[in-house]
Amino acid sequence: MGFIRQEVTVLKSASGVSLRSLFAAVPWWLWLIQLVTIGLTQMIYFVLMTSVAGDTTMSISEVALGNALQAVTYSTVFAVCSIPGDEKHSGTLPLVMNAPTKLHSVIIGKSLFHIAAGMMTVVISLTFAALVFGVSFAEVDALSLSMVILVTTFAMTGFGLMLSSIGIYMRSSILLASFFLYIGLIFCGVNFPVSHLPSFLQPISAVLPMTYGVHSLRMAVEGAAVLDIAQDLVLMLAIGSIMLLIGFLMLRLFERLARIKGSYEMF
Amino acid sequence: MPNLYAITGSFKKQALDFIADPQWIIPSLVAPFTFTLVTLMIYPERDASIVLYAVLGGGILGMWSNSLRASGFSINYDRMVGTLESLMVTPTPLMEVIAGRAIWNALIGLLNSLLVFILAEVVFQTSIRLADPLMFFIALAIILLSLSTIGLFLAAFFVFTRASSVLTQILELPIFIISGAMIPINLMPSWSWPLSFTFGPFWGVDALQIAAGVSSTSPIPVGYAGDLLILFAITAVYLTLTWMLFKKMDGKARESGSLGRY
Repeated sequence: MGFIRQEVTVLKSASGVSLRSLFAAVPWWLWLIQLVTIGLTQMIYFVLMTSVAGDTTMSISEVALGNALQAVTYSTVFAVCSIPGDEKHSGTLPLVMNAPTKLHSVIIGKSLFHIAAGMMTVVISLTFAALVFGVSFAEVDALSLSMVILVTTFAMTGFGLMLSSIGIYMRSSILLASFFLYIGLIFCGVNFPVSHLPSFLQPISAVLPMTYGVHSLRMAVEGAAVLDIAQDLVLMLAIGSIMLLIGFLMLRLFERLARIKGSYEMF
Repeated sequence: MPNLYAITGSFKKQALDFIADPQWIIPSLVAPFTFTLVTLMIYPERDASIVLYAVLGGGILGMWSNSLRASGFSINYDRMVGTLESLMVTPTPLMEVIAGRAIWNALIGLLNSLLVFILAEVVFQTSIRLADPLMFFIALAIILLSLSTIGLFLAAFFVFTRASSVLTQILELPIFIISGAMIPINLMPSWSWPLSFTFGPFWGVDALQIAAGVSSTSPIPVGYAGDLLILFAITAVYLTLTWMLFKKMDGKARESGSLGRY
């Protein structure tokens, strides 16, 4: 019990520190504009592009929905993956690594706010898709939709945490975070079907949770019940959990390597 | 008359910094490259004209993203590593030092165009041709200057705020839409058109499309020469605003003594 209480305390304080440091430099309203702008402009761009291209395999609604869910990536992959880099940059990583608290607890604690922000972004983007592009939610199964948002956010956070562990050892996790920020746009069937990718790239789609998230979101909006999308949800949960586990193991490995090479101050 | 030695020297220094550590181009090119690639994938048929359109548009997006990020970060970087004070007290005006960097940053943003071009040639196997290479490169050079001026402006502007990285994220993608580089602006509501008209490279994109032989999508067709004239005029306005901003920054920094704070 003592261990759990201690972990909860670390998560709470890491989350609080993350919030305070974020809003110390940037006013909350500007941060909100940033979060919303990235998701919405991306949606506008690809919806307009689909209109320009004409006879495409995906409808405007499908593209808008795909981009609405993809908006979660900024918070769950980019922001989470940047955490070690931000610590390095501000010179606090050696302190955090040498504190008795476990590093993974601190990183997860610092991710909590971003996870909540990610879900909020998806909800705003879906509302925008309905209001501006006329995406119909008349048939939507609200429970399925909520489950898709929740499980996709969990799985993408697992992906972000896995990548963030590499940032402990690498010079900067920003490069990695930037690289994977828009990965869903190419591999996950957000704007064009996965089958349009060259066959040697399609296995990448199969291991990215967003692929299943986008598929099940479109089904949920068309009225599919939770049981109908259960396969996608289970796959996302499984992939997300595996990524979390790999991330945890990688974090321990890279933490050790960084100590041996003394690279945790290098950026 | 600007000190061309200083501008060239700063351009060379920025190029050497890039060659020494080229990985920092990645964050600037990820968005334009992905957006250009996905744009190509959305099209059901990818003939040479579509690929040329994407290569041209992708080049502008790359130049914009790198100008925004690298030039915007330019003064902040000096501030972080402690060289800003030294730069301010040299006889060469800071604006000329940053100008050399901004030109390099816009130029290297063209790498996106090259990447898309190579991909298009290798994967999609299209062979693209420019209708008038000379007109094309003249337009490209003027766009480069215009985007460098925007980079200069952002470099000075970002000194006044601690939220420069957030502003960079906010500004990057909307310009992908309003620049008209990829999406014809007549698809946008007409109230948004003035935003495009005041963004210099919008006119440059039209000139590039005319020179490359791609049909123009501008709602106000003014022809190649007209596009370049408007681009020149807008760039001159940008330059004047930038000069005023640098003056203000210089005065404010000396008064408050807060130049090294970040």
